[in-house]
Amino acid sequence: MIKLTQLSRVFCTQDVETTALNNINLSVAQGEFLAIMGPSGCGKSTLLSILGMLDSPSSGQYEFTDSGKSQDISQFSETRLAQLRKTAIGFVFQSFNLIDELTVYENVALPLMYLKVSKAQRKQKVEAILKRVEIDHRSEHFPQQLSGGQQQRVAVARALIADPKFILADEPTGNLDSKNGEEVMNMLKELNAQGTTVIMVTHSEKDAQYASRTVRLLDGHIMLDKARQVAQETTL
Amino acid sequence: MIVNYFVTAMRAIRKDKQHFLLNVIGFSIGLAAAILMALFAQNELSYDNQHPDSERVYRAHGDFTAWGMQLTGVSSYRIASEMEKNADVEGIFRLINTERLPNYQEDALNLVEKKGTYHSLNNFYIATDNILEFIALEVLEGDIKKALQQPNQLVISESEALRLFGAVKAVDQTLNYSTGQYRIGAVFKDLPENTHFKFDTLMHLPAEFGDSQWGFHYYKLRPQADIPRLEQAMTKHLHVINPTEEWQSITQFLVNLEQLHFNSNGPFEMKLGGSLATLQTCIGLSVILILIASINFINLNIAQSAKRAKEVGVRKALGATKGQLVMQFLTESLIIVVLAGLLAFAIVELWLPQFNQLIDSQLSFSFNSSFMLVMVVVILSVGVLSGLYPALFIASFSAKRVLNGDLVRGGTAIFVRKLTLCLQGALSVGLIIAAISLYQQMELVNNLDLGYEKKSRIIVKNLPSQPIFKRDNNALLSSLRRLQGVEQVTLTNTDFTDESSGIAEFTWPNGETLTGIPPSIATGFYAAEVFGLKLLAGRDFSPQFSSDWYRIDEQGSRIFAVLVSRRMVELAGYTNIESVLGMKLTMPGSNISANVVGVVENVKLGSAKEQALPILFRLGDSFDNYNYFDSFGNIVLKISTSDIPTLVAKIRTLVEQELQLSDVTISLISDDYKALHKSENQVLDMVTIFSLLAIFLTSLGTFGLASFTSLRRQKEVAMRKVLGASRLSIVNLLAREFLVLIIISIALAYPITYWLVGDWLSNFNERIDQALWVYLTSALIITVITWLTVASLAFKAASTRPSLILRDE
Repeated sequence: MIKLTQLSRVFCTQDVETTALNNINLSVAQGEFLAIMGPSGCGKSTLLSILGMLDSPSSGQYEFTDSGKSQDISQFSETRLAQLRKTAIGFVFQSFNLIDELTVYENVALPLMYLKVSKAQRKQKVEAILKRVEIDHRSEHFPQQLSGGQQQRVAVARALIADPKFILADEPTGNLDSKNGEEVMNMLKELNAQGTTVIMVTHSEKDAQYASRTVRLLDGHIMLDKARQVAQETTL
Repeated sequence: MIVNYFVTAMRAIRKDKQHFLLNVIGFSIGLAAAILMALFAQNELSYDNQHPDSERVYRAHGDFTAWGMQLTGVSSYRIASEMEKNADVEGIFRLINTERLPNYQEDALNLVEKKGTYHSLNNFYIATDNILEFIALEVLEGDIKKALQQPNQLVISESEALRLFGAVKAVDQTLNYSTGQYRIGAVFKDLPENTHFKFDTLMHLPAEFGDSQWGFHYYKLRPQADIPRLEQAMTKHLHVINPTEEWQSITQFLVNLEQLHFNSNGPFEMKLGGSLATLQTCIGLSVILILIASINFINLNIAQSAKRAKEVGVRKALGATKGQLVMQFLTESLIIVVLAGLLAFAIVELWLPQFNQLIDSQLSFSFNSSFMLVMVVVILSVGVLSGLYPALFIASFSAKRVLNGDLVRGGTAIFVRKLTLCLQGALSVGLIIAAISLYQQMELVNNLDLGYEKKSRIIVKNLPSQPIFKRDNNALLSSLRRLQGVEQVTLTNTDFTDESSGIAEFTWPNGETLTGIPPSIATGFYAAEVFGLKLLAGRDFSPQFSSDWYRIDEQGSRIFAVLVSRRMVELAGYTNIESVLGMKLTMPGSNISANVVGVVENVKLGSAKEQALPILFRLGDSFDNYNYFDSFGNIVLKISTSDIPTLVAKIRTLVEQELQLSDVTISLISDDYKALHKSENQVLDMVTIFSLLAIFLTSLGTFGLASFTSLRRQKEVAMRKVLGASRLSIVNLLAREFLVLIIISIALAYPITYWLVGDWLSNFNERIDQALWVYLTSALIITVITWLTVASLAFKAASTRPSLILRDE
């Protein structure tokens, strides 16, 4: 579904040139649960931004396959990326990034509004997804009125509402206690089991255990790319 | 989607009430001021547009500036008669003040009697019967055309009918005058405020009317008329009928009816005209206020944008396009602007009475009018323009950056914010300088040595001259002198705050004749004392020298005493003012002579913009070169009481009883003088109010920005406190950024303000020098206000426990 070839991202300030990603080659297949790990400054967030179509690479290719049609989106304009993004990706952030001024219901419904889905359909889908993540009883609450775990469940619901091709999760348990963190990871695992592709950036080895494949980054390079089973065998 | 925008906006407002209030208050004040100005401008520009064919009706004016006088709206009857033959002229309407027809007093008497009580006829004019072709008059009763064709018929206004007869239906009612009787021929609805015409009583133009008269002449020209050629022909004819040398420098010109309001500030006008400069100043000031309010709006929204950055990032990540985000934030701006607009309309409703008082007008505000529609469109346009930049700015946030926690925005926004704050500061500094300079200039004008005293002087105007201009047994003046608080009383045919219409061209013993219409003013005894004239030589008119009073000797010669001004003596060629005392002046071609009994310091008649002309005061009955006697005179009282209302009431009772008059006009000369400078005083009031508003709005903007700055730098402040910084040093640290901007704005404001204020001052003959202290004071005021505004917030930031901030970080 995703194929990155010789992908680099260089940031230029006035005097300094920083290479955040250096000739990255990475493929993600439909239905995978990929964990990206690495120390601070290794390029995780940059890679996530590019995968999430929030940023474009300086060089290399980003092939995205949708409904059997493959296209290189590395040189897409911001508008085209926005178009693709809203149908293809669901985001889950470490700090939840719910909009404080909107209720739980409205936050979850927002992607559907940008997709111009009718009000009746929106209602139906939002109610279903809120039920699925077990937060339907809080639908009229504002984000500040919820616990961290509840907020992240809302964020997951929002990520799923538009039936995305894959979910990008950036440290989804970073701001949660262990119990809530576990709940969220189980939810992602469950979604993956139902066929949703999940790409997750994490510092937590424990969370990475939920993934079927782990990629480790260091200084903009992929140092390790191993499927879970292989990794487990190696450990044994 | 729009509902979602609206809901989000309302919740954002609820969440940040301070930001919302700053925006709404600032914008509504700016808008309210602009609406008031628009009402004023609409009214000023509507003058005389209602009259038929107003676009091709012109009034003939004379340019007397070569004589040191003004532009006047009156012109010669004879020129009009000649121009009537011109192919470009379709018709001429004549309007002549009966006060200026002393040789026609038998028919045109303003003083009428009804059941034993005398009444002055207000604003009494002679008019031609084609009046309805030139003026949009609504006739309530009678036939105005017929009434203006017949002698002894009056056409009166609705309010005059009510005053004289207690009812609007007054046709066929009668009023007696000394040698006959008037019959009311027609009644017309009172003239609206937005016209330069002001008459309440009209009578016909007699066929034998003297050609030598001057009055208002309105020319209806044919379309495509050659106006410059017509003006040349008028001037040429003026020179033909007045062949003497001094007249050759006088010119005639035409002013369109729709422009008359701004061109009717000369003498003899029906009412005080408007001032284009005042209008332009007011419009300019309201634009400045809107600009300041819009800048505040833009700055506050941009400053607040960091708070919304996360939302923008999330929305973008969820698929919102830039256009959708622009629409969202524009909707929020429009909600604020609409609320500010509603508040502005409420403020206008509330302020309108005070504003009307300030500009001496009767503006009204209707919610069901095209004006309202225009205002709504303007408010929305200003809202869209002010909201667009912040909306574009916020919508252009990079989702990736803000979601990674990078909320610091680029240099462009900071530059724009600093630039706009500089602009606001510069406008405030400029307005303070302008307000102080204007105040100084108006103080100079009000306290200008005019050669006569304005303070503690009361004038009783437009009294019949015959009963008051009496040398002996003047019971009225004696009674007035006995009133408590009255020091002395005299008579005059001239209101000093107006321009003199009387002229007297005397020949001096050295053969010098002063031409160029030197004003000649008839007075009573004690003229120098009551008017406060400065006697340089000789003596005042006094009953001790009763032969000074105008008299006709055995040979039929007319003789009287005069006081002459220093300038007149100098122009007559005498260097020693003492030497002219006792000299006999003669008037060529007449049997009039005058004895000089005193020389007074120069007197300036009219406004401060006028020059001091050579002037002559004569004792006794009033007449001028043409031997016309004035039908009206004034009594002037020198007073020594502070209880003016009581004294005025006593004077009124006394004069009304003695002269059997129904209504008497009494005013303070100082008030009349102030009224002469109405437009300048209006500008002063406006600039003062607008400056205060501008400073308030700028402070509001600075407060808003400073609150965001202190929020942005709270971690730095906390760290500095941990490292031992004092509160004051932190306050100064935060204030420094703003003070640097204020210094730049002061540097910007100084040269522009110096030039603009200097340009305005050049309109005055006597003017102040722009003072350095004014510039320094205004800079200090803005600096102190800015420092206090920022310091109040910075102090709060500096007082917060660092642990609270650093823990959050």
